[in-house]
Amino acid sequence: MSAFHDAAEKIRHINRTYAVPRIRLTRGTKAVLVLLRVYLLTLVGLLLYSLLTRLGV
Amino acid sequence: MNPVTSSDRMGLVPRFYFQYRRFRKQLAILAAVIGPGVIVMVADNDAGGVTTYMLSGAYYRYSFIWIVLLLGPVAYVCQEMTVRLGVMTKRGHAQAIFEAFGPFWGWFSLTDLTLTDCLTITTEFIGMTMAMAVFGIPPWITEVVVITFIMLMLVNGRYWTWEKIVLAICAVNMVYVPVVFFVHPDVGAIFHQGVVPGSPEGLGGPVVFLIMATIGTTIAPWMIFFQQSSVVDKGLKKRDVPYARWDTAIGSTFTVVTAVALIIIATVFFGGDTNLTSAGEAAALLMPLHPWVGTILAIGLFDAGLIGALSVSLASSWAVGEVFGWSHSLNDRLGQAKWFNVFRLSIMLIAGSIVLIPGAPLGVITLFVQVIAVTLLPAALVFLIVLLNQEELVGSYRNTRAQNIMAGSIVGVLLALSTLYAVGTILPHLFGG
Repeated sequence: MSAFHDAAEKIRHINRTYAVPRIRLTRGTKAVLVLLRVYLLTLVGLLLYSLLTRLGV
Repeated sequence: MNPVTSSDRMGLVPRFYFQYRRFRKQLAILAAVIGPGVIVMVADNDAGGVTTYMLSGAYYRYSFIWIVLLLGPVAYVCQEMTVRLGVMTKRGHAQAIFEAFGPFWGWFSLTDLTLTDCLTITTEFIGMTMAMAVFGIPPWITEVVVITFIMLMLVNGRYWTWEKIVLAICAVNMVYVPVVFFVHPDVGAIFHQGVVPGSPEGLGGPVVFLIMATIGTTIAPWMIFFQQSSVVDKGLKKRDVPYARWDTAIGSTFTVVTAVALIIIATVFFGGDTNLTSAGEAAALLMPLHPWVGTILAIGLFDAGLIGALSVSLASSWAVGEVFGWSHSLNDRLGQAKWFNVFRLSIMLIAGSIVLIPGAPLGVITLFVQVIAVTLLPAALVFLIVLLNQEELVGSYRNTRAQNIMAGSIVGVLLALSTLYAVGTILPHLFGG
């Protein structure tokens, strides 16, 4: 239990450390990142679907 | 008016000697800097890569050569950016993403990298075990020997020693090139089909998948993480950047030459055979007919898998080590970088175990890992471009307009191909699948 607790605490620490992005993002860059997020989530979903179909799951 | 330098005032012989001494000095510096670029590019032709090139040669003869020729410079453009970012920030790519874009993109990249690397190492073990099976060596013995060797390389605790051993292993990867001169390929067909761009039999059937796999094996996310961390671990400085660029250019030339050699060999022996499924199978098929070609194919495949396993396992171990704050340098002894080495050993053991599972869908894994990599590559490249445009991070080494146009075009093409594949997955009838 202690190992899981330590790992969770470490992850929380990492999240706190990097909570604020340290570069100045222009409006255009922010828009690109949002589009990228939507695009990647869609593609990951499609790939998983395709993989599971091929494996016959 | 140009300033008069000391060499201008010299006579012809002293000037020649001065230039010769300067050239020798530059070569000596290049010899010291060379490593990360050559290793990452040669590791590009890993076991999955060797299979991909063999299949493209067997299915579509020389038609993929021009694609590989185009991908060499593309790989150089992407990897050269990691050199500048690593030298200027002294951070690996994972940590740079966390710092610049926050935890969402940081965890996304790290998870994706670890998953892809684990699958990639699985393909390396598939290649190595298949190659050694040609000589009658059981898979488990190959795996135990390989994992022990990879871990023992770190006992010394010196980056330089590790790098020199890996460069020696990289040299073996060129073993395919001399074979081309002995198998008498049709030179006219190579130029006609291979150098003149054209679509290999339209966009039907497995062509899109194979093109994606070829791109995925030439430019992969792990390469970006590997070279940036490697540049940092080696301690390269601003003055080394021109030499590190040469290192990367030499590496990309090696990778293209080897890939073309593989396509030619595959075409000569298997051209038009769409039943071939892997490079290991090709080596086994050639053993009774052309034993020396089969032997070289098997040795080359084992070597490709070994370089791949060495490099890919390091890419994610460096990345996780940076983010979790573990000691993660190859200059640390095994015990000093305990968690870094435990993580590296773990992903190799997981990957090795998958290969030993009876009936595991290894063929599907081999092709899918390339496709997953190319689908997720645009994100890694977008981060790279954004970071290389931050003057406060990279100073005068920020991207020029021309570099941004080139890198942006690469991302655009990759996005188009990824989307093409995605649409093909949902509506396969669109591409005749």
